[in-house]
Amino acid sequence: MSNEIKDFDTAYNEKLKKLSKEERAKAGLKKLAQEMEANKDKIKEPEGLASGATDKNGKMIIDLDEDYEDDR
Amino acid sequence: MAGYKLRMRDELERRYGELRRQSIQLANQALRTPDTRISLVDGAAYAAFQRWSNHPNRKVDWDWPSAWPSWKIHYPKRFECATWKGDRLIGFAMGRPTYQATGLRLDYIEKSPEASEPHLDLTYLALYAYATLLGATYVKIMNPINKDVRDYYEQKGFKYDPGTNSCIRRII
Repeated sequence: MSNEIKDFDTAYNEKLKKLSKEERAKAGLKKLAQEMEANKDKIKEPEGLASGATDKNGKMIIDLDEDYEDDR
Repeated sequence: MAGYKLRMRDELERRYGELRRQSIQLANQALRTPDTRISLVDGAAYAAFQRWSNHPNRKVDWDWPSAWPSWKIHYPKRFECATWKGDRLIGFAMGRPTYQATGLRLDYIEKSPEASEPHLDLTYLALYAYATLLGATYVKIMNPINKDVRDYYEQKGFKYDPGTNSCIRRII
């Protein structure tokens, strides 16, 4: 990523931080939807996309453990 | 005590249910793709799932309607969505916040083998909206099912963390 793009993203994120949660969501979603539209044919989604805890028979393992990993 | 816990759970369900509805609404308002929408999971989604539940090309054998009740009971703060093209169900997703809600996990996501629409992009709109309303700073997709899927997440701006076998993306 070039420095100019980094600067733009940093400035954009700083601007978002000053908004209320709802305003921030709206602004972020607008940008995401634009990116989604612009990139829709660039990266193909894998067929049968799936993620999640699964056993060897392909059954879902319901994970009910708490996730304490909050300090990212 | 049990009554108190039940009332507390109901209150959390009500409060976070509002945030879930709001996040879906905001995501749909931002969406620019015609005839495509995002919804919460309901009976219509379960019914539409029957169309591809026995599809031979599914990568997992998840029975979403059976899994949902325990997820809903345990996690009143959960994330959930179904994505649609017209009346066809593109896929499901469900997750939950981390303990202190600084992050939002996407624990399970599956796309119909019949669908060509981008399920992750649509889900991510709802996930982003809910995470932002919660005040979370990152989202993470747990347990990508294979390398192709993991690579796809990385192309979409997520970073793979081998320690937790998850793909993480900061949202602010």
